[in-house]
Amino acid sequence: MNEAVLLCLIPALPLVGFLLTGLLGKKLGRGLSSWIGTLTVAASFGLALTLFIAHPDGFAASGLGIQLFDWIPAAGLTIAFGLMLDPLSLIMTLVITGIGFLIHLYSIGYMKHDEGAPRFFSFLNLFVFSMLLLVLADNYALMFVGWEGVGLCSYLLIGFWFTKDEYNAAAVKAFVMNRIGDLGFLLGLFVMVATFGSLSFGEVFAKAGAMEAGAPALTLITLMLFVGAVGKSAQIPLYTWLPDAMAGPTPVSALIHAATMVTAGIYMVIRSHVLYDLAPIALTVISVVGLATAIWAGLIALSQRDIKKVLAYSTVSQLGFMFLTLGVGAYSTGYFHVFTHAFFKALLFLAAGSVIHALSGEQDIRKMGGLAKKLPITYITFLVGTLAISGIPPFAGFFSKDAILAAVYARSPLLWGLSIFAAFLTAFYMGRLFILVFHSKDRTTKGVHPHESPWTMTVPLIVLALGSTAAGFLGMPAVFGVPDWMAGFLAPSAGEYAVGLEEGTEWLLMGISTVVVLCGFIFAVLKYGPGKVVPTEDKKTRGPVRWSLRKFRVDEFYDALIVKPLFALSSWLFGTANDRGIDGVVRGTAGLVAWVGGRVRLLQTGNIVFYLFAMTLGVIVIAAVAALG
Amino acid sequence: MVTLLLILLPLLGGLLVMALPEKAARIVAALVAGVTALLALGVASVWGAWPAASFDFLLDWVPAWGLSFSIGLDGLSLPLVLLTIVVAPVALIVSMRRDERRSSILYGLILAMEAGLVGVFAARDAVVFYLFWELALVPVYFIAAFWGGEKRVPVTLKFFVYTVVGSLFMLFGIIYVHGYTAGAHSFALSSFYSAQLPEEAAPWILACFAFAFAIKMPLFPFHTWQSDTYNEAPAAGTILLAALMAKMGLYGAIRWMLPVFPTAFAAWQTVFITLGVIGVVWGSLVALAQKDMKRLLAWSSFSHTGLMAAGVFSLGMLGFQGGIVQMVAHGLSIAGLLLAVDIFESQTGGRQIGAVSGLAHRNGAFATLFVILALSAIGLPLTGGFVGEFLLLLSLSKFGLWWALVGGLGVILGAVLYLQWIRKSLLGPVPSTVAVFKMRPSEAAALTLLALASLALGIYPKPLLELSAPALDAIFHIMGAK
Repeated sequence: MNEAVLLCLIPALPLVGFLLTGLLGKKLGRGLSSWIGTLTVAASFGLALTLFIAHPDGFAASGLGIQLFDWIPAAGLTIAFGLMLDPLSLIMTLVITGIGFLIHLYSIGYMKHDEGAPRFFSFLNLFVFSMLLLVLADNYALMFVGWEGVGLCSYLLIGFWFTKDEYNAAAVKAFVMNRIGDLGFLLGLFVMVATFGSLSFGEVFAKAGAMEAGAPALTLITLMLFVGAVGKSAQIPLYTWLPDAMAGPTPVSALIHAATMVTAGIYMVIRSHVLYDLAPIALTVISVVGLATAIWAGLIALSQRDIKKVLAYSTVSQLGFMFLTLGVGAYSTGYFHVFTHAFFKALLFLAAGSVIHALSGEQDIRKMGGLAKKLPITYITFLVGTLAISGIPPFAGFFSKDAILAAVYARSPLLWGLSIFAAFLTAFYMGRLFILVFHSKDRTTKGVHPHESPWTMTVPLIVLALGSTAAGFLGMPAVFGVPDWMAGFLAPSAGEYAVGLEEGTEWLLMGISTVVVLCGFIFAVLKYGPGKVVPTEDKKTRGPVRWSLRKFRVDEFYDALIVKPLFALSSWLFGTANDRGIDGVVRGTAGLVAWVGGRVRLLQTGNIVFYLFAMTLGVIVIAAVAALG
Repeated sequence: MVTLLLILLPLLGGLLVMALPEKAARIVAALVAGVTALLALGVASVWGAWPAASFDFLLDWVPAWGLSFSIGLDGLSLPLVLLTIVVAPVALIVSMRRDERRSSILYGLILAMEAGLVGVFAARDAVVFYLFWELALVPVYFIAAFWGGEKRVPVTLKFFVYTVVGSLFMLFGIIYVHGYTAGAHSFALSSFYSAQLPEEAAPWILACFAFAFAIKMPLFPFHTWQSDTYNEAPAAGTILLAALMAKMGLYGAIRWMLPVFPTAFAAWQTVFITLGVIGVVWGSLVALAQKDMKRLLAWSSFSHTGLMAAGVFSLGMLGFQGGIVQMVAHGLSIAGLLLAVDIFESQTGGRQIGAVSGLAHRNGAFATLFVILALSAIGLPLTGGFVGEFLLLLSLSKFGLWWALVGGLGVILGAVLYLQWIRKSLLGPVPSTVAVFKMRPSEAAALTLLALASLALGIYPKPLLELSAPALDAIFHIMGAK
C-alpha cells in the first residue's frame, strides 16, 4: 500500500476506535469495546513499525508527507491539514502507539468490572489520536489541535469517575492550567505568523535559518511557545495539575505520564530546535526552569504518602531533567530520556495500579508493606522500574541520565552539581517508595487479601520491564565504543549533538553519578528498611519534612493569590461596577430624559411601543405618499 | 426574486399563522419555516454557479429621494441568512414544547422575526435596512413582553427603549449621510459607500451608527440591558436574541459603518478595540459570578461578542473572516446551549446552577451534546468556535500583541466558566431528585444538528471562508479606496 495512506491510517485507526466505542459502546458491550479500543492502537503500532522497518532511517532521506485538505484557508494564510513523518515523529509514533497499546491491554483487566469501560476506551483512543495528530502534524496550527486535544482528553479521563466531585475538580484544574499555557502557545503562533507569514514547519524553519541569532521576534516566539510547554509538560509554575491528575484511573496516569501529553512540550521544543538554537535567552530560561522543577518536585516527592503522588512528582522532576537538557542544546539527549522514561514510567504506574488493584483501591503507602511475596510479578517489575528511573546501571535510566549529566557538565559544572543532587533525590524517593510498598512490615488493612493481577495486566508489566532494561542500549555513550543509535537516528530532526568531553572525564562523571544514586538508594533502604518504624502521623512531622509533605503549600498560595481574588473581582464587577456603576449611569440618563420629558409634557401616553409603531408607520406612509406623489 | 421570497414567505406565513387555531398554526408554522429553510439552502447550493446578481431585487419606491426597495445577497449576508433559517426553527421547537397560551401568535411572531432578520441581512438600501432593523425588534419585544418571566414588563421596556434610542440615532445618521451622497442623493448602499462627508461631521455621524450597533451587539458599556432581557425572555425569545439579533450589530458595523466612515473610524479605532477587549474580560468574569444558567450564557455571550468586535475592528481581512466564522459558530453554540438549558429547566424544574447535579448519569446523550456545544463556546480546536477565535485573535495581534493577550484571557476564563458549569450540573453524584431526564425527539434532533454543525464548521470551515472572502474583500477595498 502507498506509504502516505499508511501514514494517514496511523491516527485514523484510533479515531475510528473512538467513534465506534463512543457511539456504539453500549451495544458492543464492555468486552468488545475494550478489545476494539486496544486493537486499533495495536494496528497503528503495527503500521508504524512497518514503516520503520521499510525505512530504518526514519524517512530522513526520502521524507514522507501528505496534505489531506485545506483546513483554514484564510486571507494570506492557508493552514493545511497535513501530516508528515521524519525520525522524530516516527519514534514518537512508535512510543505513543507501542506503550499506548500496552496501557490499553492492561486497562482491559483493570477496567473489567467498571460499567463505564466503553466510555473509558473511547476516551483512551481519542487521547492516542490527539497525541498522534500532535506529533504527525506538519504545521504548528495542526499541532495545536493535538495539543489542545490531549488537554481535553486528560480532562475527560481525570474526571472519568465523575461521581466524585473531587475528581472533577482535578479535571477542571488540569484543563485550565493547560489553557493558561495554551494561550502563550497561541500568542507565539501569532508572532510567528507576523514574522514568517506561515505556520508550516518547512517554511518557518527555512526562513528562520536566514535570521540572526538573538533576533527579538525569535526570542519572543520561542518563549511564548515554551509557556505552552510549561503548561503541558507540568513545569514550574504550572505543574500543580499533574499530581492532582492521578484522580483518574491508574492506566490514565500511565498514559499521561509516559506515552502522551506531558512529553508534548519536549517534543515541541525539539521540533522547533531551529528556532531555539537562534534564541539563546529562551534556552537559558528553559534550562533554569527545568533544573528548578527537577529539584523542587524531587523535594516534594520525598515525603508524599500516596503511591501515585510520589510517581507523579517524579514525572514532574524527570521532565525538568529533560528540559534542562534541551536548554543546554542537547536535543537528542533530551529525547533519549523521554524515550527511556516512557518505558519505566509506564511500568511504574501500571505496577502501582497492580498494587492498588490488589489492595482493593488502597493508595496510601503507610497501609502497604511486605507485598513482595504476594505480588511476585508486580514486585520484580516494579523493582526494575525503580532501578531504571534511579539511574542504576545497566538499566535504561542509567544511560539516559548519564547522557544528560554529561551534556549538562559540558555546559556548566555548577548546573551539573545541582543536577546530581536532583538525581540523588530521585534515587532516594524511589528507594523509599519501593521499600515501603514491598519490603517493610505488612501494614495492610485487615481483611484485604492481596492477589496478583490477571495476564492482561502482568504481560504489559513484563514487556515494559524488558524495555526498561534494554532501552538504554540504544543510546550508549561514545566511551563504550558502541555507536549511539538514538543520536544518529534523530540527528536529521533534532540536529547533530556531541557532548565533546574527554574520555576520562566521561568515565569519571559516570562513576560519580553511579555512586551518588546508589548512595541515595541505600540511604533510603537504611532509613525505611525492615525494622524501622516508618509511617508517621501528619501531626508529628516537623520542619522541612512538613513543608515537603504539604507540597510547599503552592496550591494554597495560588488559591490565595489568584483564585480567590479572581472570584472576588468577579462578584465586585457583577454587583458594584456593573449594576451600580454602568447601569446607574444608564438609569440616570433615562431618568433625566423622563424628568425633562415630564416637564415639557412630550410623553403624552408613555407607551413606547406606540411611538415605535407610529414612527415606523410614519416612515412608510411618508415614503408611500412621496411615491404616489 | 428569491431573496424577496425569503422575506415574504416567513412574513406572510407568520401573519397567517397568527390567525390560525393552535393546532393548525403549529403545522403551518413548521411548514413555513421548513420551506424557507429549503429555499435558503437551495440558494446556498447554487451559490457561485448562478451570478450573485440573480438574487438581487430592486423596486423603485421614491425615486425623488433615491429610495428604492433594494435587496440582495452576497458572501457576507448569506452565511447569516443561513444561520437565521437554522436557528428560527429551534426557537419554534422550543416554544412548541412549552404549550404557551395563545401560541399561534407566538409562532407567528417568531416567523415575522425571521423575516425581519433576513431583511436586515439582505437590505441594500439604508431606509430598507432601517425598516427591517425595527421590524426585527418588534416581534422579539412582544415575545419577551408577553411570554416572559415575572419581571418581564420593566425589563423588556428598558431593552426596548434602549435599542430604539440607538436606532433613532442611526436613522438620523442615515438621513445625514443621504444628504452627502453624490448627484441627486440616494439611500442606496453603493451611494453610501461613495458619500463624501464633511471631515468635522464624520466622527459624529459615525458615533450615531456606532451607538445603534454597540447597543445591539452589545458592546461595553452599552450592555446593561442584556442579561436581564435574556433572563426574562422565554427560551424562544432568548434564542432569537442571543443567536441572531446580537449579530445584527456586528453585521451592521461591517456593512454600513466601516466602509462608510473608514477615516473617522480609523481615528477612533483604538477606543473601539479597547471597548471590545474590556467586554471579553468583563463578560467572562461577571459570568463566573452567575447562578442562573441563562444569565451565565448572557454574560458569556457578551464576552464572545467583545472579541468579535475587537477582532473585526482591528481591520484586517483575517479579523473580518474570523468575525463571520465566529458569528455563525457562536450562533450555533449559543442556540444549542440555550435549548439545552430549556430542556434542563423542563426536566428538573429550574435552571439554577448546582441545584441539580449529576445529570450525565440520567442522560448521557444530552450530556455529550451539551459538552460539544460548550467546547465550541470555549473555542476548542475542531469546533467552529476555535476557527473564529483563532482568526479574530490573530487579527487582533496584528493590531497589538497586548490586546491579543488581554482578549485571549477569554480563552482561559471561558474554560473555567464552562467546565465549572459542567462540573456542577452534569457531573457529580447520581441525582436523587430527578429520576428521569428525557429529551423530546424534536429537541434531541435540534441539539444534535447544532452540535454536529459546530463540529463541521471547526473541521472544515473552508466553504464558509471561501463563501465570505470575496464580499469581505470588496468591503475591504472600499475602505482602502476612501
